[in-house]
Amino acid sequence: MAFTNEQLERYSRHILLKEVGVRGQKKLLGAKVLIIGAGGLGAPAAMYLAAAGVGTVGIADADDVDLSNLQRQVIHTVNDIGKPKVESARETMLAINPDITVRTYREFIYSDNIADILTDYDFVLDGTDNFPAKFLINDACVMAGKPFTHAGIIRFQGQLMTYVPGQGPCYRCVFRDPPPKDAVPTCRQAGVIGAMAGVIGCLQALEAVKYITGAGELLTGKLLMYDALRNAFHTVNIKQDKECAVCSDHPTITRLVDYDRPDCDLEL
Amino acid sequence: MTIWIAGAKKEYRPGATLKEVAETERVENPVYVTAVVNEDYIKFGDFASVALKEGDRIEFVYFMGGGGYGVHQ
Ligand SMILES: [Zn+2]
Repeated sequence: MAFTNEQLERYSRHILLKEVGVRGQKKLLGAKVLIIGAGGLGAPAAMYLAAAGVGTVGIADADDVDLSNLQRQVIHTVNDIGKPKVESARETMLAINPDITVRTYREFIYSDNIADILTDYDFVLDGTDNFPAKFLINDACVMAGKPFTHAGIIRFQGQLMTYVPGQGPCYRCVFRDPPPKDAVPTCRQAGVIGAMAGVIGCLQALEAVKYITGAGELLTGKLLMYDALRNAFHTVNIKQDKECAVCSDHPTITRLVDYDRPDCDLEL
Repeated sequence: MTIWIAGAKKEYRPGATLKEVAETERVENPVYVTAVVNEDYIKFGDFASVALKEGDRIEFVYFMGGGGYGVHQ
């Protein structure tokens, strides 16, 4: 596959990088990345992956755009209020880069649809806000042998880790089980600073780009934590739990389960 | 003794338990916090039985989902 002149111009700042170059850009154009959640994390990730020329980007979300989303979900605008988020996201991504294919899934992920959705993708981004979805994505990716990047954000803080099969711990190695539903306050109580979704969602996009191009080191075996109020990026080494219920040699979880979801299923 | 909490140097009495440290550091909602001591995962239920040693590196890792589950000091 040869680049067109337009592609050479569009991707010139990537091609200049020795870690990307023509080879890496071709890999990006041939890659398929699935973003679960078109909210705060998914929005910047989707825009940067589209701009980067990731050839196929899938985006899954059942919600419609709401005014309260616009404080952080920068892929949507006031003109999109009431529209399905995946539609609004697709329009923005193609407006940035018509060179890519966007596949939309207007549904929430559950144990009965996630395996089918992710089967065709090379890398998965978890942009969901709730623990049942996060554990489901982890388990489905471990079972399917798919790499994915987890992220969470709250108030002025964020965290990020990347799972690559056989190369380090999964989300469950560290967090084990979802916190009980009753222990979780409502989704509107704690809040989050909008730009935190941007910072952490962009880091997820970078993990995808690094995975696809092979540039540098991924956050495998590492949990990155960012505290904006203290200006602190901090990385903790994490290892595979030999007793992990899903990724160890003797898993006790061998099929996907749906945990109870919070009543308010807000996107980040 | 000197231990490291989230990369910061702290002084504690020799043999201080993880539970004491979590209290002193005002870890919020510690029931849902995993401690990583050096590279071992320690659940809240075991905090009281873990005596720390000189030079231990401790991290408190919080569940972070979205705008709802606030757990940090
Ligand atoms: Zn695991």
